[in-house]
Amino acid sequence: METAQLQYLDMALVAIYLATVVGVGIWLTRGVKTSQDYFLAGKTLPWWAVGMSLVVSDIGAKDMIGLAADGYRYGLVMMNFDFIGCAFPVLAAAFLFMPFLWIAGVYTVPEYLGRRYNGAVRTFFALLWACFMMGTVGTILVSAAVMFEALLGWNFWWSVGVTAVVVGVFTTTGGLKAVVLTDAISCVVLIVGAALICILGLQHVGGWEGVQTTVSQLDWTSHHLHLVLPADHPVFPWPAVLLGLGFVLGPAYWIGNQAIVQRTLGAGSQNQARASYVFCAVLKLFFPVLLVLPGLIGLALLHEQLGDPSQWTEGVANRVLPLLVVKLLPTGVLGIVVGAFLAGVVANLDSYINSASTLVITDLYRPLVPDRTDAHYLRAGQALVVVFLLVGIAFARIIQPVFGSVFEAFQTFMTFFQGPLLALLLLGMLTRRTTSSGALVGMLLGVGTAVALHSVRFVLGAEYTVSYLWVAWWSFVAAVTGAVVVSLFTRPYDEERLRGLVCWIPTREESGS
Amino acid sequence: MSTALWLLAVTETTGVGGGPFWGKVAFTSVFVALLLWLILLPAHLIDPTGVRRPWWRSTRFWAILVTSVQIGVYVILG
Repeated sequence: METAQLQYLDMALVAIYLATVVGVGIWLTRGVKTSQDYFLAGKTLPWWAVGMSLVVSDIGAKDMIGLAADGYRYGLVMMNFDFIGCAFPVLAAAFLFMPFLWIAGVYTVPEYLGRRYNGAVRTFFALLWACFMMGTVGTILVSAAVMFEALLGWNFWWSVGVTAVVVGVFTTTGGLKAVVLTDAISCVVLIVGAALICILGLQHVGGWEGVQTTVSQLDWTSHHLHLVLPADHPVFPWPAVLLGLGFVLGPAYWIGNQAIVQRTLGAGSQNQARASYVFCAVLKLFFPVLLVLPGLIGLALLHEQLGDPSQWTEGVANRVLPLLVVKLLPTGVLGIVVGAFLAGVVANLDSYINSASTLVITDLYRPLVPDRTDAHYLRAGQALVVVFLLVGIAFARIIQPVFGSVFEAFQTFMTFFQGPLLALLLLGMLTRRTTSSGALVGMLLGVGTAVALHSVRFVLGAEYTVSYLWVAWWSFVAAVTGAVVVSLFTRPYDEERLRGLVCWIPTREESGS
Repeated sequence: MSTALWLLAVTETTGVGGGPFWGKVAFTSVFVALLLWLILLPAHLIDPTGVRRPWWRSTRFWAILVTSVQIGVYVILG
């Protein structure tokens, strides 16, 4: 396989990035004295750093590789993941949902669910999130391995080892502050690297007109330049994109994802937390272009080499971006782009590992082992970071040969419980009538629906595969239905129990009593 | 709302974009509804402290800007 030859200048740039991130991360470990310092950065994070960290917690190497491949395969429709799937829910989270979590003073989303409903709901979602995060860590490591193999010829274990050591060094001891501030550095490197691929790529293919010309000449790209595809499109019909992505997966991710919410809870004030979400939305206006355009440039440049995606064998999808990078980038620029890939991996990985540790300690370990000193929970959180890295590496090895597209794998993980989680959060925050029994039934019904719809293809054959967007939507509908029906027949909590947790019941300070 | 629908109709008749019309309407409507909500949201719900900030430090201003850009994107590329 053709790989990039890093020159001394490229290697120096990559080394400078790594040294800066690790150095800053280690330097920030000095201030970590309590578990709140470690898990919520002592609530001192500035809005701009949180905003940038939100971006790179969402966008990592898996998105760079996956969206470029899907940009080649499907075209502009992939931008919906950052438009309707991000801008809309991020703004809704900033102005409507984030204040509840902030006022409740929680560390994690399951902790809020526990206070609003009961311990069973909290434990269930904490376990689900722990599994999901493990899977995510695995997909991030697979992305890193794919990328480094294609770019530099590194083997799987070498790629995963280097990534894990770099991330482990500062995440273990530095906590959320080290993660967020190193993420801000990574965000800048990621934007510069992705922009360089787009600019040099467009120069190479004759600008946007060159892309349009190629698309018009091929017989399998008729929808590539449209954001909204026909309702009968086999993969991205617009009703499924709007309902599944826009109304369920996007909001569930930005409102209920621990890796996202934890950053905003570490901000200096509620206003700073809101500003960080809005700053993230501003930055995310540019990311669809930075991530999907390389796929279309790849289409213009590589369509004779890679051909029609419907004929692709396992693993071809993940080669689009690395091939483009190898073909396009000169010395120096290659170093910046490799640094950008590394930034995507490091930022994504440290975010998920730090959040997984916070979640397991807060929602699973503390209730089981109460009344220990704060230093004990701090040390346990640090040890868990190492455990999560090791388990993530093992999981990466398992999933590596199974999934054709890493991005699809990530989405599949999410759809099992994103719909039910969103249903419980919305009903919990917006209605006082939803009960814990209703929440439990809704949750089980929603997850059961997701599992059943995913299983259809194994029972009836691949031609009956249900799109994950529809799975997300119908599992959400099932969870809402189950929760509402059972809540109507069970006794609701009294108002005092729900104070500060539900939209229409203000805190004591707000009500003046 | 009417401006967005008019723009949709124009892009449809002039051949810009080219996605399904009702899909474009649906996507654009989500952002138009969000825009209206952001404009009409009472100030005390955004910042309970009541501190007045210049427009460039207002989270509401930047949120409205992002939403407006999204409406434009779906009208043109939908």
